[in-house]
Amino acid sequence: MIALIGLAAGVVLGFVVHPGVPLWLQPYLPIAIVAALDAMFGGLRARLDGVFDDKVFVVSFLSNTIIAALIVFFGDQLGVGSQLSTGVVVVLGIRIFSNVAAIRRKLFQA
Amino acid sequence: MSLLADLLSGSGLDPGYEAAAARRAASGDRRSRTGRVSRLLAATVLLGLLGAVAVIQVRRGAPVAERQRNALIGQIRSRTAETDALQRQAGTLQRRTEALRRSALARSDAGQDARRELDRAADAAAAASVRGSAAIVTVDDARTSGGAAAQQDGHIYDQDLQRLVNGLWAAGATAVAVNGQRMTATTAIRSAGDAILVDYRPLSPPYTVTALGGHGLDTAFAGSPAGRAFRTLKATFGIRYDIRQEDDVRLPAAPALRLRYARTEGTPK
Repeated sequence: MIALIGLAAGVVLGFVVHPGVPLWLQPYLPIAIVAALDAMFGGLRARLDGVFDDKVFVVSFLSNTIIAALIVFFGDQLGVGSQLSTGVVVVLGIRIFSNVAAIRRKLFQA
Repeated sequence: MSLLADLLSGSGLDPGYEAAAARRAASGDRRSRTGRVSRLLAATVLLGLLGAVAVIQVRRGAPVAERQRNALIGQIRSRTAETDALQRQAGTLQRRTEALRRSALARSDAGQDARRELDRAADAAAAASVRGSAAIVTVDDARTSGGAAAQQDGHIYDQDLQRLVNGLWAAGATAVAVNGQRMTATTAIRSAGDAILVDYRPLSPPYTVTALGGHGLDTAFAGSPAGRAFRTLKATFGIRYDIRQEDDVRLPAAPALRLRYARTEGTPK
């Protein structure tokens, strides 16, 4: 419940405030969001498993986004940015899918 | 490959949560509720904010690209219109000089001879507008619903237009215009990307080639090698190719000729 309220508040805040993203940060935003989604589904799964911990959630969320952005940043510096971001998206995508599959099993027993 | 192993075994991908739960159960401590709520709230607000910002960024980026494209297209249009206006002005001035020269030359016998000479030269150089019966050839890309390969096959290229114009000259045309642009001895038919340029101005399909040259030019062209080649192209790739004869057609003069003089190396321009 609290999580949903927070999510809605964040979305509303984003649309109302229109924070400008500095140009150097823009390439890393999509990857950071995929990483954040991974953390979110991980947290949701843990919640359904009954082992949710807010500290683990916050730490995994922050580290996921920062590390994903960092990997892409280093990839850009080395000239393999697009390949590395593909790699990051594939790995995070697999994690998101398996987490969502676990959530689905929990919720629908299917 | 612990990631794949984890996936196949179906165990939790984030062992952190289980470890934390085990730690909590072992020590038995309960942290304050407000601390937990505020942490969770902060993280989720940040998550929502991130998503919203990304959506706004994407929405904002697309119109910018579109606007820049439109601005460029507008610039191209206005510059083309500008060139057209200047071209018209040059044409008017050219006609005025022509008239003045005519009246000046008409005063003497030698002048009249020179005028006849000039008229002949002007005809050959496409410097005067002409009228007469003409063959009108219309060609266009094949109308295909197929993929890129089919589109490529049925596409009219600059070589095709060159072959068409040269074929018309060979069939006895005395003056040729492509989409209303008069061809001179030095007019280039080239391509830039997908567009065909005549005299460095882009054409848009369909391409209409008008060739002055008396009656029977259409049949003369249809029987020539170029005409046969175009019939084959039409049969094979489905391009549009029509030829018809019209009695009274007026072709404009070519834009002012730029004369080029040969000079020996080393002499100043």
